[in-house]
Amino acid sequence: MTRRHVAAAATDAAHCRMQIGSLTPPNDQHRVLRVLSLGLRGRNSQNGIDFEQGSSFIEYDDTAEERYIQQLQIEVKALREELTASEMRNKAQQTELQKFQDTASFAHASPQEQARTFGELKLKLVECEEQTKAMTRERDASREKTVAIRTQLQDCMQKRDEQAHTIAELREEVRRLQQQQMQRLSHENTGAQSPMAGATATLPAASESAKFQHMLEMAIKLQAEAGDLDLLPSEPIIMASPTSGSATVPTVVTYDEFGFPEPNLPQVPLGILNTMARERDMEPEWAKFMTEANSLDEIRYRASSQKVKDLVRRGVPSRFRGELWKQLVRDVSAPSRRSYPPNHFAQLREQNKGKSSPAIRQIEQDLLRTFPSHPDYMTMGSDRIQSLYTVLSVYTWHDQLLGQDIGYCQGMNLIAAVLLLYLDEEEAFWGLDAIVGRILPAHYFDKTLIGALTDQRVCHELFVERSPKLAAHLRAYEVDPDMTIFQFMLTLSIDVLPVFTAVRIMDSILLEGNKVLFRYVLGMFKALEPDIMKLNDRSALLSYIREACQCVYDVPLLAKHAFDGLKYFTSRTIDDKRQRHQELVCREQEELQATRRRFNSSSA
Amino acid sequence: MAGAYNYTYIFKYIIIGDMGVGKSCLLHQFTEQKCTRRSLSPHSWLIALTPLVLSLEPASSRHVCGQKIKLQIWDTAGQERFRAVTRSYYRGAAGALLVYDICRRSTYNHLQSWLNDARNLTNPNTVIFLIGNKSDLEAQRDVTTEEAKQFADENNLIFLETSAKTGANVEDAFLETAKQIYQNIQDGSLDLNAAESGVQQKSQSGSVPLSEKAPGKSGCC
Repeated sequence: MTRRHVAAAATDAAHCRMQIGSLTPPNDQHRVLRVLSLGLRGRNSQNGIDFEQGSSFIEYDDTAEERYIQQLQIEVKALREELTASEMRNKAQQTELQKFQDTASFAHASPQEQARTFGELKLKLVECEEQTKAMTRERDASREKTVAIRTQLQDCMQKRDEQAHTIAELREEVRRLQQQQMQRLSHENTGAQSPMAGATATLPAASESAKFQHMLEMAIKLQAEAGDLDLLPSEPIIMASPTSGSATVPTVVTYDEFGFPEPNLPQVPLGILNTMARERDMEPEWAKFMTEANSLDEIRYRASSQKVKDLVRRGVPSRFRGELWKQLVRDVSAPSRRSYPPNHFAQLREQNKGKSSPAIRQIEQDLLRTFPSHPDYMTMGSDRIQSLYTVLSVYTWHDQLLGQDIGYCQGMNLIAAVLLLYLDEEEAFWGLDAIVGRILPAHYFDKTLIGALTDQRVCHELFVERSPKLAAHLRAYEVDPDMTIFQFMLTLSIDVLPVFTAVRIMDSILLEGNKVLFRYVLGMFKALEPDIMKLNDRSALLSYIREACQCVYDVPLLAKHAFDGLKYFTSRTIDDKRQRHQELVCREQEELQATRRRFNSSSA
Repeated sequence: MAGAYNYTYIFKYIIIGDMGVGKSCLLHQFTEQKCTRRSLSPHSWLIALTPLVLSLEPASSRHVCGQKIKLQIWDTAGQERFRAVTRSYYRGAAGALLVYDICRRSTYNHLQSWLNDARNLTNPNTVIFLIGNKSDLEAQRDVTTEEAKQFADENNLIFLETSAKTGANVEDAFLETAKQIYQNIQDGSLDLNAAESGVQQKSQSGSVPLSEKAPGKSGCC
């Protein structure tokens, strides 16, 4: 079935390409390429070729749109000319008026005659003035019309860009899926497995081809929609990769901005592109803000302001993230840092080199399973793994000094690894200290986990309050959201959402504290609610929630649900709930211990 | 896809044991193998592995004793402090895989405490399977097969040594557990109507009568 599709698409694509090649001026290709390039940076050259073809295709598609825009432009021009003409007329009238006045003042006739002429002139003057007023009104009206048309024009252009975007995305997805498909086929044929393929080919065949099928349907549907809008000719949207037909497709794994292999699920790129587009829009604001806020004091001052919160919530362009985190970590960890010598980190590292402890052994076990798909985190010898080890092990010694009884807790490896994506070892260490010691409530990672367990329950309660329908639905099928919630709280979303998204949530956590976590959990469920409500099977629900979380890439949408979609709630609300639940958690733990003791003694 | 619903029972499993004994690897070995070998099957599920904290519920459908049974496997975090959290996942487990590392005696010594939790927090009919993992590392063996066997006998557990690395015995461990659960259903010792039996029956299926028990080796389709 899919093979047939690929072949059909290949023929159609070849046909398209022939037409496109002869029709599109290269300059336009260039422009569209630039529009698309942001979301698609870092792809291999083969993709580049595809995009060029893709973009030229779009230009060609949009001739109707282009014609409409041109028409509008002509209209604007005509109106502008009319405006100039009426201004000229106005001027002529005024000159005439002046002439009359002159005549009146220089008249040497008899006083009566003068008075009469003067009266006539006055009348004329009034008439002229009225005419001028009318013309001014006319001018204003046409000005308004111009503005309206300009807006319309902009809307049209935006719409066209959006369409082009969607089409390019779809094409890219289809291409990627086809590639996967072929990869898998060639895999099956040859039985050979390259090490890279192992990292990506985790989808079982059936679900993969189902997804492919889904993609095709989606593409066809969108194409139909585009056809309705009269933006596209009737050629199929699907293009095969250039080497279609032959089984020698090279294994291609692309990597994202953090070095992770790019996800291969169909929903992914849409959300990523949305996020990237938003961040691109935020670029000027951030550029301005970061040049203003270059001192620690200023960030600290700004951190408390709604303006900065909004700025961060709306999205931080990646190139500013490192600097922002550095400043925020410095700020949050400052009180803790003051009680240690400036070289605290290096000192701890050197003093404890080569020492071992139960916590260190646990860290060692977790290193390679932190980001198993990331090439930099795959072998013990890699720099990133060494940095991760350093940060986590130094933290255990630091923790000993603090007497928090944390040592190492599974989950901290993820947090440290994410910090290390943007910070150096020492900064990441202080970042971890800031998160564990200041941003999160006490006992989050210690042996009791009381903090995290409490937050899980608080969040569950909020979830039931804010999404009562969804909560009831899950309860009806005995699906417990607690596991997702707990994992989300404990790993600051890193273990639940894609790293792409978790990194962006970290922006807000570092700035606003752990309260935003509640918002993001609730927002995530809100975003998934319509789809979850459609499922009426326990297993399907459990799997869906897990998988859907890993496809949350649209950060602006998530933030919209988390911040705009949720009614205001205060830290006070959370603190009150926390107090109540913490008591319950403590009591339950004591009971558990007691049961354990009873059981142990009876079985002994 | 209709295929996803084509099974008679769902069994809930949990995997427990100390950190680093290879719980997630066992699961991975079991499910991944399925992916490659059964690429033509319509029942393949996306197996997502989270080696951290609590990995939930990859599920797979297998033929056991002629029945299609979907396994809902809950991986748990092994770090001691997570035991307070994971205990809520014991509830309603039909099978528990209790894993230790044959090269680390400490993981074997902790078995009693894990077993206590499992007995304490699951129903009396939960099938508990003892797994001595990393049998490929014979040279570093720290726990003999005999003593583990004895421990298993004393505590009425089924026992196998496996290697998540080579895949030896891994599938058997998962399937033997399922067979045992199925037998318990057959002889009536496991009451499906009881709360937290850990077994869900697909009422709509009906295509495979319960009594029609295929003899012989279970294995894969």
